[in-house]
Amino acid sequence: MTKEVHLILSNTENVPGKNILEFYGVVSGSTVRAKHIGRDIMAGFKNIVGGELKGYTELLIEARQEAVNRMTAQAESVGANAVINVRFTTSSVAQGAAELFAYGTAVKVG
Amino acid sequence: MGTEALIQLIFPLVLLIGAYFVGTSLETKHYKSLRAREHASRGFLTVTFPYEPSEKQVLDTALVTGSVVISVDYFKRFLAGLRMLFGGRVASYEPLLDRARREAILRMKTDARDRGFNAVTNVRLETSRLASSAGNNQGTAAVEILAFGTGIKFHHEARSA
Amino acid sequence: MNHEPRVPRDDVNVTARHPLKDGAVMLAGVVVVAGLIFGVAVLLVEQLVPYVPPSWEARLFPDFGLMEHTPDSPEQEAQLEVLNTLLERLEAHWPERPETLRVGLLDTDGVNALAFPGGLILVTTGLMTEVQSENELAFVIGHELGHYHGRDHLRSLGRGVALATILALLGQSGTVGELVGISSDLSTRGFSREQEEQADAFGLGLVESEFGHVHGATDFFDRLPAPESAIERALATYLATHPLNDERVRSIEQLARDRDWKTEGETTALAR
Repeated sequence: MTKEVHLILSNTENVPGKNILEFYGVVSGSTVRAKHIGRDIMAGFKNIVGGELKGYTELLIEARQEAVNRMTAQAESVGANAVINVRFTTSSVAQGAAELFAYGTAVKVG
Repeated sequence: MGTEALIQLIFPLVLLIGAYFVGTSLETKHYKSLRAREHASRGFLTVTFPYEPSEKQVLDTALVTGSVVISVDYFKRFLAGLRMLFGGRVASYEPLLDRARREAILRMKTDARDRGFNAVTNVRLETSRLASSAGNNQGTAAVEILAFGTGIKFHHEARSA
Repeated sequence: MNHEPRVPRDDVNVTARHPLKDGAVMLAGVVVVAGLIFGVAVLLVEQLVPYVPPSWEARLFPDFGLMEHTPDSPEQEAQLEVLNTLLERLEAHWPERPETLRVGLLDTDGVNALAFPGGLILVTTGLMTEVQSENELAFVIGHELGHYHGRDHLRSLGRGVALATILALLGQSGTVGELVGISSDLSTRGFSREQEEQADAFGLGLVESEFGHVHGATDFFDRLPAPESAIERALATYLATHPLNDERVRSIEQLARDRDWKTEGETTALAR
């Protein structure tokens, strides 16, 4: 039987309108993504005229979503139904690769 | 003249293979140690929000930190270099950061416990890349992860209501 | 709210991808793509080279005249005289030759002859002491003339540029660029086998036109030292700028048979 876990994410200290019953600990999700050489070249051209680098925006959105999914998986594994105080960081770990990191505290709200 | 070029080719290959085996064994050992310590310290309250126990009296607080610098082995750098041509997930760097982060958090907990605190609240994590001193664009050689939070010491007996 | 200590699963932040397989797949991809780009670039070079006039060629490359050695003994002056006369005689059989051809000496004991872009052929003093007949020396010079005939310097330049472009693209990934650079260095040593064979054929043709036969043209190679062990031989085959001597001699003999050239005749000793 698959459990439909609807996990609430919030970047405040508590989930608005709910009470925290139990808290479990820090959970985090991270992913390291690299852009491919095609995007690099297009970005190089875009650098000349300026404006949004749509390719990179999409790439980082996907990566951030994956980081959140991983954090959610960790939270589910301890039996939480919400993650509070969610924070994101983006750091460059190599020239051409960035790490997307999401972390928060896994809690049970009711 | 030609043998030099051949040796030049063999040397990085040998380095790669050596780095792969040694790196993998070190990684496995580290993960074992991480899991053991995490399991042992799971009772030590660590949260990312400013937890203040209402029913207990807070005696002392201070900033506690834990940090670690981890280096990437040659094989991982090589794989990452290839990956950066094709794009996608750089799977070779993920265990590196995972280990570093967990190690930093454990050290922060240790720092807090050694200083007599009962919990760490408002935990934050920061990642920075340390460029190699040669300054070449070979990709990073090291990553520093810092975990910091507010350690609190509370009275174990409940406040009288 | 109460604290419930639980350790979350720890496998989410790593991808279960076997690094060796991952690396092998990507490496194969890089090799294939780089190979394709290089192949296309080489084709382009081959198409364009015949249209570049030799006068331009001289301008593309630096002046190598500084390497030429001025004779400092009567013996060396005689050697230079021999070279110049022989070049003139061979040139007579190649009317379409570039105008900037000339021959000089290189002061070193090593046995070698080099064709520089722009038309300068340098023959080492070491070779001049080793060579015994006019026919041998004529073949050596003729082979170098063959490189000019085939526009081989331009082709190498074009290939080098193509490689440099690929490296610039790949070079953004550090260690990979290194490896590609080294393997490309290995694969572009000197001229290619085909270029060498064509130079041999052209040189042999000139010898035949001048002397009426090809006897003695390859005697020189038989006297040069051969690789001793199997490993040396394998390395030499892959890394040498010229093909191995005995293979080369066999190819030349085959060529003479194919073109129906006389293989018997008198060889003229060198005037010293």
